[in-house]
Amino acid sequence: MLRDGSVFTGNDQELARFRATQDYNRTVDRLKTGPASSLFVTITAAAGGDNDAQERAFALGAPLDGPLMAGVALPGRPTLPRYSGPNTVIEGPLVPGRSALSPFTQRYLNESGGRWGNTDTRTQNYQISQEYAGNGYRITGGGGIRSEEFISGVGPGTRGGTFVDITARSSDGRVVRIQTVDTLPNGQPTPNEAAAAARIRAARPNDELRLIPKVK
Amino acid sequence: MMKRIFFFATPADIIPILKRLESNAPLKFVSTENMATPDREIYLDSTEIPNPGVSTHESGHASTNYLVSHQNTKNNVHAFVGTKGEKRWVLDNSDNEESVNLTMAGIWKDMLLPGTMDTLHETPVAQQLMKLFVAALKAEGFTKVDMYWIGKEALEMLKAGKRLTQAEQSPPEFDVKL
Repeated sequence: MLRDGSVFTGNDQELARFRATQDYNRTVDRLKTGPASSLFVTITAAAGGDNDAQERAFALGAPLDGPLMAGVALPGRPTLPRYSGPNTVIEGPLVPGRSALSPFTQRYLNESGGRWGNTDTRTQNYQISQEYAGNGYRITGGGGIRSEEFISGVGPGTRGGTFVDITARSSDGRVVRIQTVDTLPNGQPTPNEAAAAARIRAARPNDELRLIPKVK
Repeated sequence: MMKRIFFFATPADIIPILKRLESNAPLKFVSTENMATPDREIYLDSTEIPNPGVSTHESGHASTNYLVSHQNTKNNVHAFVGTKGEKRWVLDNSDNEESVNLTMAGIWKDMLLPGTMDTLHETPVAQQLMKLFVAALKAEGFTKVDMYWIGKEALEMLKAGKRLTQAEQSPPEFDVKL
């Protein structure tokens, strides 16, 4: 198992230990025969790029998560800066100019229609998912982050089933489902929304279900 | 576009699936937990994944999840500040267009919970991973029952009267029936 991040932030003892492992050798072997990634090009350019730096950049970063290579110290080379920008930017000091939202998320938020709803609903679901993520929840479905959780019904196939707008799991295992719902003038969910909520409650009676009126 | 694949698999069912999947191209399996540290579990070989086919939660959907991509695909990790001011890191399918999510779930107590492979993306790489997964299921003798692919050992459990269900808490009417 390889772990990225702190073990690779310039601690020579840890690096030496890592270099003695089978994982290191296997990684290097694979990288030497595999295609150079954009990360490799970027990191070696930033680091100066002699053979040793290239090998270490390869061994440390290329198959892993590029942005987490920030902070890596290469001998005689400047340490790559760790990013400390606005809180909605995908951390990517090796990818200058990266926008705050990924291309998919931009499309998700700007487009309209289908099960994901109009732009207002999409934005609302995305914002809710980010609020839960900010509280340490893993978004396990929906919210513009992942495919929605599907709760099957009587079948066959997806018949009688329900797609959940957002499913989130807390670090201690609690599961919360959030449906953004159309409402009647009296504030109650429309019959279709109420039926979907009932299906979710029937299938997961012990979990929390939150119904939030859609932004209009 | 293939969006979701549902399956029931015991450890004996899922391990050969992972091997077949990796035989096409070197893959990495990266934990998608919401972390307060940049450290994240990365497996470059499926044999290193702890307990595949054993659910870590009473709901299959909430069990341990991995982002699966080619080893030379750069994963975009989203860093942000949490509500308590702490820095957090997440790895989402939405930020990684050449990836799929894999939740294996599996054995939970005396029942079996469903796994999923899903993706938001239509990219050739993501769709190829989905297709390769289905091909592996077929090659390993999984049986399609309604919307679920069911492994050989999982099918034996079903025939033996064990529950194949979405979550332990789900009432019996949500169990898979032959």
